[in-house]
Amino acid sequence: MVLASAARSTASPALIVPDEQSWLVWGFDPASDGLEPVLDWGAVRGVLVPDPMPAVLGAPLAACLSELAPTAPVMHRPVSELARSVAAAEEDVGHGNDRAHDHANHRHGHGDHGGGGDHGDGGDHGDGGDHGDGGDHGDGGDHEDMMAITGEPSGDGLVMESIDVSLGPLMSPMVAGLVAEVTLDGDVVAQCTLRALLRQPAVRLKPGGPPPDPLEPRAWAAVLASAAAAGEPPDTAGVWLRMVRVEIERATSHLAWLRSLARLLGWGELVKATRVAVAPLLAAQASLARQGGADRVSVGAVAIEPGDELAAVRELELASEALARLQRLCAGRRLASRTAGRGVVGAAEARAAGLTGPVARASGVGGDARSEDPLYRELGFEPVSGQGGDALARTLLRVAESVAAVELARGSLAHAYSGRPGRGDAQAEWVTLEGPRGPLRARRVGDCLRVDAPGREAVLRVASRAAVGLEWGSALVVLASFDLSGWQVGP
Amino acid sequence: MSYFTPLAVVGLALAAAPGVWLLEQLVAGQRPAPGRALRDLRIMLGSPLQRPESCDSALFHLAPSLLVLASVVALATVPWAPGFRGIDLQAGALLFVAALAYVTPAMVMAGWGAGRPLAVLGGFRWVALMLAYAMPLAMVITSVAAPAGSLRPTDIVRVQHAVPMAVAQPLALALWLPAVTAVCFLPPFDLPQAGGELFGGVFAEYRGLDLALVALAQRVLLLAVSGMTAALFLAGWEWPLLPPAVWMGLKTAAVAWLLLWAGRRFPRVAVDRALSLAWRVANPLSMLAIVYAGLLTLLFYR
Repeated sequence: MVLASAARSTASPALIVPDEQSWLVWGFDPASDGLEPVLDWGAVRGVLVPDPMPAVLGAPLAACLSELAPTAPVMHRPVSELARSVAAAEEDVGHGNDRAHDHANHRHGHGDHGGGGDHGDGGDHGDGGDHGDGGDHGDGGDHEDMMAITGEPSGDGLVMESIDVSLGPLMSPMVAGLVAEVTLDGDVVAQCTLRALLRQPAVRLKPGGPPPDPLEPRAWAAVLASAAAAGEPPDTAGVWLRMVRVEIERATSHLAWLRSLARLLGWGELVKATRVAVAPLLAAQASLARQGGADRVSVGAVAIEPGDELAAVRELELASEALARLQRLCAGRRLASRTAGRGVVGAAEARAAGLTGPVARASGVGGDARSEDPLYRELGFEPVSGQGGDALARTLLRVAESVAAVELARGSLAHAYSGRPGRGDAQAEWVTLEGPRGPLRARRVGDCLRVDAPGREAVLRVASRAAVGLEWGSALVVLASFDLSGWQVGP
Repeated sequence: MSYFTPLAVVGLALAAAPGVWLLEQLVAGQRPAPGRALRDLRIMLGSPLQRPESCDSALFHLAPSLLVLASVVALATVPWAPGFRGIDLQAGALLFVAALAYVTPAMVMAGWGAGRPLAVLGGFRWVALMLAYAMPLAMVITSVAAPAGSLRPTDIVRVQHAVPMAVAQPLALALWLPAVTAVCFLPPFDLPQAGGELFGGVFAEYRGLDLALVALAQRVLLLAVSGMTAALFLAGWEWPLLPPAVWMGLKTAAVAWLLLWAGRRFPRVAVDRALSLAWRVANPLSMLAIVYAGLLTLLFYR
């Protein structure tokens, strides 16, 4: 599951688990303002893990880390302990940065509680885990803040206490690296500020190097790298297979997000349905990986094993059936009861803010970079568009895109094995790829791949505004519906 | 045995924990792993108690005990078989509701004592929820007591020998089930702790024995409300062929399964929607249920 192995000579700074948001190994650069992904294992100070940690993946991650980084003492702690080291490292960063320091204090206070998920499985009734939030409860406001009455009347005329709450960077439903600082007026969000702590200005081009956005799947990096590389020969099956993997990872990313939303909603049935849909996608990906290398999309001659072909086709069929059931589940009134009409971003607002990707398409604006690709056009690709721009529209759009992605993967897989010629990568200055959170653009500069993700900062601002005025639980659902990233990608 | 001894009630309460845990695992579609559960319990009990930074640590540590006390008293009022119950009061059904009422101060104490904003928010969510659902609970108890002419649970069971109250008064049952789910802070009404929203809410700071007591109390509460639902609506032990206690056990398990299953089927109810449903729908309908119960009693039970 972890896309790193002891066989590789140089370790990747980012460990990406396809069905979860991210596992990142990170360190800190004292000269920088914030956390940085590290390229040197000696600088590793901690690991970001999904919250809650999938129990089945804990042991493989621990084994992988012990192989990759035998010299890093932090790596030898139990996985549940690793997240806590982030608080200490962030405190170090904060010595030169008051804002980060304040935040580190919040995190540190909770890290000492030692939850570590050790009681979450015993006491909860749903998959969300009632208590097991990895020791990061995140209600960072202290008692004095809680008791302070500001004297400002609320919407209903009552004088309410103002409460400051800080979420992240290591807690569900926030993705790793994202911090939300919220001021509550009673239980209503009066103010919200979102910050992405992690930065990724450029990617060094090398085999097995980090992806452009470490929160996004690894195949995207390979696609961008190969597309931006000059002089790459046209390819046949490799191009189609690359598309298969990209679309599978798109569906996986959307479903992983949907599962985190289901956990936030405390909806066990939806958690289970997403798990059922993700499993065959991962199996198909593993089947394809056996053909094209463990961590990269094949761009050369592809050795096709009939057994693997059949396995991938079968798994994609299973995924298609599971997604159809999932789509029916999401189309019902139960999801709408929590999401409809909440966090509305109108078409005009989306256009003015410069939103991109699924968030913009849910508001009825914005395109899809895949529309320009002749290969996608050959498969009959039509961008999915939504209406309403609320949390429900964003959710349904991602589910519909997952369904479409699996169908595209099935179509391109058929082309790959029928020997239909594919197109070589275009030699453009900027190469654009439609990612699960919006377009990713890449340009080669020297031995680095400059990457840019337009619309990333805009979505943080829009999401902050959308949460204001909502009750706490609804505000979290709205924030989650934007599928935010903790990474600032680009210059 | 004509009466439960207090020891027997406590024994039943302790037996509730593994029983309900087993049901939870089955409803969640997971294979029960007792070894892992015991290991988790051992770790939980071995953890030191959390000492909140706030000045209300006494309230904080008293809350789990109060929660257990309320749930055990509620359990004691449930009639399990003829002559087989903990407390046999004339107003036993009211005592059941009164015992459940003590869950509210326990929750507020837990949230306030923790001294964390989201824990306090969970406590206040609970107060709002219980204010809204207390009336339907009391009204439903009155509705099912009317045909029996008694608030003694055993009398209410006996009056159902022909027709269970679930059939005679389906509206009352429809009002009762969400209300008792809320009382047990079970999904989709798990608003005070709300795993994904409040990150543990009122119980987020509990560790060690405190946390074990909370987990025990919730399971005892579920057993108590399931047992009382079986007694008040499903004719308790009053069905043929099987021994009375077996019938009661089966019906209790079925109700508990239903409540847990519903928790997985629905997303957590939004606070505003839960309150709106309670005040605008459940409360007026509970008045209607009373009127209906009165008519039913006059026409068929006199």
